[in-house]
Amino acid sequence: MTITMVDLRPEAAAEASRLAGARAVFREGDDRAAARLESDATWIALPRRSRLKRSLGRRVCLVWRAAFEDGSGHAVESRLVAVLVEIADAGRRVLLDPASKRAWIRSLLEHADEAVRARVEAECDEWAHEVGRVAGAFTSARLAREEEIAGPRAAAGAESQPGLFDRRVERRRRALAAAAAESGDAAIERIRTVAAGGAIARVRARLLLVLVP
Amino acid sequence: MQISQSPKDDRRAVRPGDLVLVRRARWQIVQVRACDGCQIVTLCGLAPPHHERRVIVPFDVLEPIAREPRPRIVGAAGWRRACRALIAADGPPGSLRAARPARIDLLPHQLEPALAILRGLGTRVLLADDVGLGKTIQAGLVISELLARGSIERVLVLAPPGLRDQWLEELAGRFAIRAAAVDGRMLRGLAATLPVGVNPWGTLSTAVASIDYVKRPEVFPAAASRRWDLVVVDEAHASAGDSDRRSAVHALAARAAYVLLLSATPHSGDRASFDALCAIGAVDGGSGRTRPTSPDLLVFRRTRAGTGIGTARRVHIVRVRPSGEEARMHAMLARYAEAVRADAGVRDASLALSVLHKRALSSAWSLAQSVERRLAALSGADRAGAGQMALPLGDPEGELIASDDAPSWPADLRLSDPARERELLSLLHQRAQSAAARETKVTALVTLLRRARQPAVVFTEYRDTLVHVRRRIPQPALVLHGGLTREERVAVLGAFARAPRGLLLATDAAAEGLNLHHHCRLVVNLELPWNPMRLEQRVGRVDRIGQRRTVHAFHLIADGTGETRLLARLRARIASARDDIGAPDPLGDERAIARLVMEPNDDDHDGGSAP
Repeated sequence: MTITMVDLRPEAAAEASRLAGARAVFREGDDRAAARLESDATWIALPRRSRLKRSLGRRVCLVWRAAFEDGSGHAVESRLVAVLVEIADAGRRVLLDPASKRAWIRSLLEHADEAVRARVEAECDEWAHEVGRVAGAFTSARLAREEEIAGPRAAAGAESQPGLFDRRVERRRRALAAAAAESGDAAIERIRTVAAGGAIARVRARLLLVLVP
Repeated sequence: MQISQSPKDDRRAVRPGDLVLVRRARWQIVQVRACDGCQIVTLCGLAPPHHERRVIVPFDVLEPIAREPRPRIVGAAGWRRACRALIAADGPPGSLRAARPARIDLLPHQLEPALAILRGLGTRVLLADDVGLGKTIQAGLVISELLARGSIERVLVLAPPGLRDQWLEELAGRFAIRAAAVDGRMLRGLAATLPVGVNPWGTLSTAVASIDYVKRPEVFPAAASRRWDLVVVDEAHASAGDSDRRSAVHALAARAAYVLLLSATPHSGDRASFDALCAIGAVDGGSGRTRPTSPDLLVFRRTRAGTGIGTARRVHIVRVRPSGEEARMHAMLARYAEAVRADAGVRDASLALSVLHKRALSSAWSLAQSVERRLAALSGADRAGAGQMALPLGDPEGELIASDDAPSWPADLRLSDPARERELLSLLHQRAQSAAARETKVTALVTLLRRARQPAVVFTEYRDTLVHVRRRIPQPALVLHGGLTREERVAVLGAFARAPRGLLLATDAAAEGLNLHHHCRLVVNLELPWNPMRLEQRVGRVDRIGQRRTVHAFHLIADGTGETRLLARLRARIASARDDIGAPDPLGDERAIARLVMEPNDDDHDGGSAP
């Protein structure tokens, strides 16, 4: 056994800064809105505030999410990608007409689904590689530990009880018995479960939010 | 339509985010975990107040509610809320999910252990930070992060009895983790509600238990029969060495996927003990030796200076001149020690004699108590109990701590002539009793507390001294020692927190690991502990993250005794121990310190910085 001193100060400082930013952004109840969005289709908002309209200009903002899911469909890692789409002159005229606006938005999203998704996923390739590396290391460490635990065990030996109330030998024997009680099949099943839980899959980038001027 | 009746065949059928109808109510699936051929599904109610509930598939039927297939226009407020939540959850790979909602200050050093585990750097971790840098919070972060990711299901926290409630509060208050405090009463109550043959330990997802309770022969087999995914050992140094306690802790940890060892004082000067601490949870196949292929132990050792955290600390040395009676007591003790040494011949009696010197430096009363028991044993009055080991039946709940009890008389500490031993000990007892009638340290303590006019914690090593001081001081005082039950301890700490000028008399064993910094900044050491790390542990009760005022530590030193030499030695040892966790012998052994205290030295002086 070796002792390893770890220094993750730069990573920890960056993480603390990220978390501080996240706390500054987050408000009570936001998670419930996000939970509703998870089970819903894309949400589209039409800003009314003039300041937001001005800053948006003649662009549509699309918020995509690239993600990796585990076997249970749980998002293990995800990344947001915001895309600004410049509206052509024809589109601008349509936006002035509320009646045709919805149809135009629908056609825009259909088009974006084909044209933008590929670019978003390409943009996330490097991130996906990093996800694979980090998740792989996490699972490997756990699997190594599980394999060690499931590995061949030494016999209890013929140790004698050192004292009347000293239970060390008895305890060691019981621990070995408990470990042995977990049969080889159970240990293999456990390792298989850990490996399966660690197997994550990249899912198609999903368009979550749209902001239309 | 029903979904996921066969989780193995169709694991993707139930997904987080899906809307389902369960028991005539609408829910959203938050989490799905596979467990023993079933699926444990965590649901969140769609209607306020959005309660969470867990159901087991296939025993509960989940009927899906169709999603809205087409994009829809929503209100700006809802859109903004969802957008904020997504941004807050966004982070690079391997970032922490549980830290944002946790009620903790974001201190980078506290995030490192959880980040290291997520990056796969190890599964066994020793958190050996300085006292007061938040090891419990770091452990809580690791627990909540692994739980949030579904990597672990069952957590066992092993802590000293006095820290169980603090763990429960920290886990619940900071991380919203509902843990169960396990003791005999709780297990009996739980077993009564379960079918015959069901192990109550198997029903607990997060348990906090006393190490001394779990190691009991009637408790351990049940606790060890189910695997724990994560075992946390608080104050792990107490489970080092070749002890019964260490054996129990190791047996539990060696089968856990993750092991967290917490100790601000991992190295007490004994290299073998340190090695044993580091090997807790290493898979050794029961041989007691770790395999060459055993994964590394990750060690985090951060100092207060290194993290730039902490308020100013002022240490005051209060030299107390012993009274005539006390001086005569010390002289008589020296005479008895000389007689033992002369009688022992080649046998080194210094460690045995150190027990008496420790008692004398703590209080004349505690020395008198030890000598009185020895005299009773010599006279045969205690013959029935002499040499008879007490049955471990007095503490069925595992709540009591015995290490602040009076130490037993060492077997080496005797004279070959019982009559002469009785004569010397009778004289020593007489002088100790005279000195105990008016102890100068107690007088100095009363003066100090009268001037301070604020809450204070007074530390001593022995329960005898504690009880004596309480009787001798005029102001009301609360006592915290190893003989109190869990309820009594909670009541004492609550009363101390409420009292504007409360005084808490505590032994090291009972106060270890407690957070007292919210309402106190003053620590008084009635005697110097011989283990320098214990001194740091004492001051660390109030000198912790969150302390906003300057901390004051007072050491009462009996002038002209071995305590002055001990002080100088402690300073040097603390400085070197801080620098190197892996130093071969950073603190020295008790035998060397015993010689130092007992043998007069010319260089009795107070110089340099105080510890």
